[in-house]
Amino acid sequence: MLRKLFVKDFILNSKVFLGLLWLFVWVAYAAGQLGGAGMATVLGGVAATLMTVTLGAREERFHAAAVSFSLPVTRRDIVRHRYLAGHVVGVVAFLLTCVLMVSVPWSKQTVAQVFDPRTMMFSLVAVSLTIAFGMPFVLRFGVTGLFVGLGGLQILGLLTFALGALIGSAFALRSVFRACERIIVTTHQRLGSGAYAIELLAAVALFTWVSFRLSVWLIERRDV
Amino acid sequence: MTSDYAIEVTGLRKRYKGFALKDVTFQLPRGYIGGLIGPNGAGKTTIIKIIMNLVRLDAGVVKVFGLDHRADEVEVKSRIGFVYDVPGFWGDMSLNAHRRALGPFYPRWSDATFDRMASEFALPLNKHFKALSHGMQTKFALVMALSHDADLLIMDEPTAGLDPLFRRDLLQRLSTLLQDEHKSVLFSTHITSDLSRIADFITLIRNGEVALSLPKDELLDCWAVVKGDAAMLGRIDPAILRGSRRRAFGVEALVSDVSALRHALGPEVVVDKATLDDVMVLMTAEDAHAA
Repeated sequence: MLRKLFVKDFILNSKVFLGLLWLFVWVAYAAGQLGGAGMATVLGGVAATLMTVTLGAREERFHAAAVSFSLPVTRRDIVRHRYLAGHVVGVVAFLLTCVLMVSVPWSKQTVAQVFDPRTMMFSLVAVSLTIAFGMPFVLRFGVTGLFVGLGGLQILGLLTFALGALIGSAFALRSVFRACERIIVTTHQRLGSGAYAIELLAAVALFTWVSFRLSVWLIERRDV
Repeated sequence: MTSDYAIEVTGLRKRYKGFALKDVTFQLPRGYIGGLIGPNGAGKTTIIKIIMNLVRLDAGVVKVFGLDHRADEVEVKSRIGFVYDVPGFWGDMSLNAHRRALGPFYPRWSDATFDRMASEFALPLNKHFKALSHGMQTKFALVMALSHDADLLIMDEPTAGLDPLFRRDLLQRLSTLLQDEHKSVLFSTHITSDLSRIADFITLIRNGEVALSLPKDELLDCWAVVKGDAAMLGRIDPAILRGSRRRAFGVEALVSDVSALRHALGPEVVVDKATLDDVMVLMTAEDAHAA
C-alpha cells in the first residue's frame, strides 16, 4: 500500500519535483555563500525538507484531499506514507542540495567541508526533526497551517524579545539563546563519538515517533 | 461476512456549530438505487461523507455490505465507486496521469473499462483536469468510479449543474449498471425528477433528520396531495398527515395513505398522486408545516 501511495504522489507531483530543481539551485547557491560549511549544510537540509513538506500544498490547492482520503487506504497508512516519503524525498533533496552547493560557481564551501561525516549526520538529524516538527501541522492544518505555525513562532520570539527589553531581562534571554547555540555546537562536536551518535539518533527516533502518533491522532479526527 | 444490505446507517449523529445530524437511520438493500433527497443544507453531503469516512461521526454505526465502514475501511472503500459533489482532482495533471496514479489502488481496476468509457464520453485523456468543463469533470469522476467494478456507487449531487442531455445519459447509464443485480447505487440530489426515473428507495433528509425512508413505489402509490379549505385539514387523521402549506386558494396537504384519506373525506375530494417534488416541498419548504 505504501508503494502505491508513493507512486501516486510521484506521478501527481512530478511537475513540482521538476519545478523544485530551480529552488534547490537557489538554496544551494545561497547556502554556498554562507561563512561556515556546517551552518550552510544544515540550512540547506532544512530548506530542502521544507520544500518537500510543501508538496501537500497541491492537494490543498486542487481540493483533492477528498480523493486521497476516499481511496482504499487507512488514514494511518496515509500518515505513515507521508513520513516515509518525507524522509526519502528530504534526504534525496538534501544530498542534491549538497552536491549543488559545492558545484555552483562562487561557492565558498568545499567538498571536504560539506561532506564531512559529522556535518552530514547533523544535517540529516535536522532534516528528520524538521519533518517531525512540520508534519503534524501540514496534515492537520495544511501547508497554510505550517506557515501559520512558523509565523506564530516568529511572533512569539519577537514578543519575547520585546518583553525582555521591557522588563530588563534581556540578559536572561541572551543566555537562553547562548545555551541553544552551545547545545548545537556541542552536539556537532560530540557526533564523533559513536555512543553519542546513537543517543542522538534514539532521541530523534523518539521525537519522530511522538510526532507520528500525534499526526495519526490528528488526521483520524480531521473532517475532509 | 454477507449482508442483504449494501448500506445500513443506524443512529448516526454528527454535530457542527449551527447544524446537527440527529439519529439518522436508513438502509439500502443490495441491487437497488437509493436516493437521498432534501433541500440544500439538510445534511445529505454530510451523511455521504460519513459513509465514506471523510467526516468522523459522533455516534452511530455505518455498515457497507455488512462491514464496518471504519474497522474494515480498506475493503469497504475498494468496493465503492465515489463521485464527489465538486470533483477535486489534481488540476494540472492529465486524465491519464490520474488513471496511472489512482487505478492501482483498486484490486479490480480495469484499464479496458476505463478506455471504453472514456471513449464513450469523449474524454480527452491527455488534457489537464482543470481544462475540462464541469460536465466533463463529472464524466471523468464517473469513469474513475466505474472502472474498478465497484459493487456500490455513491454519488453526491452528480447531476447538479449538468445539462439535461447529460443528466438523462447519466441516469440511463445508472439503470444499465443496475442490470447487474448485485450492484447498488446511493445518490443524493435535490433534483427530484432524476430520482423519479430511476430510484427504488427514497430517503428524505430534513434539518439533519430522516423525514421518511421507504420504497419509491410505495410512496408514489400511497401518498397523495389533497387541496381544500383550512377546515379540511382538521378532518384528516394526524397519523396520515405528513405535511401541509397554505396557498392563495386554501391549503395543500400531503398524506401517506390515499385510501384512508378518501374514507375520511369522501369520494368527492380532489386528490392528486404525490410526486417526489410534492413530498419534498410539502415536507421541507419554509412555509410548510411538517406533521
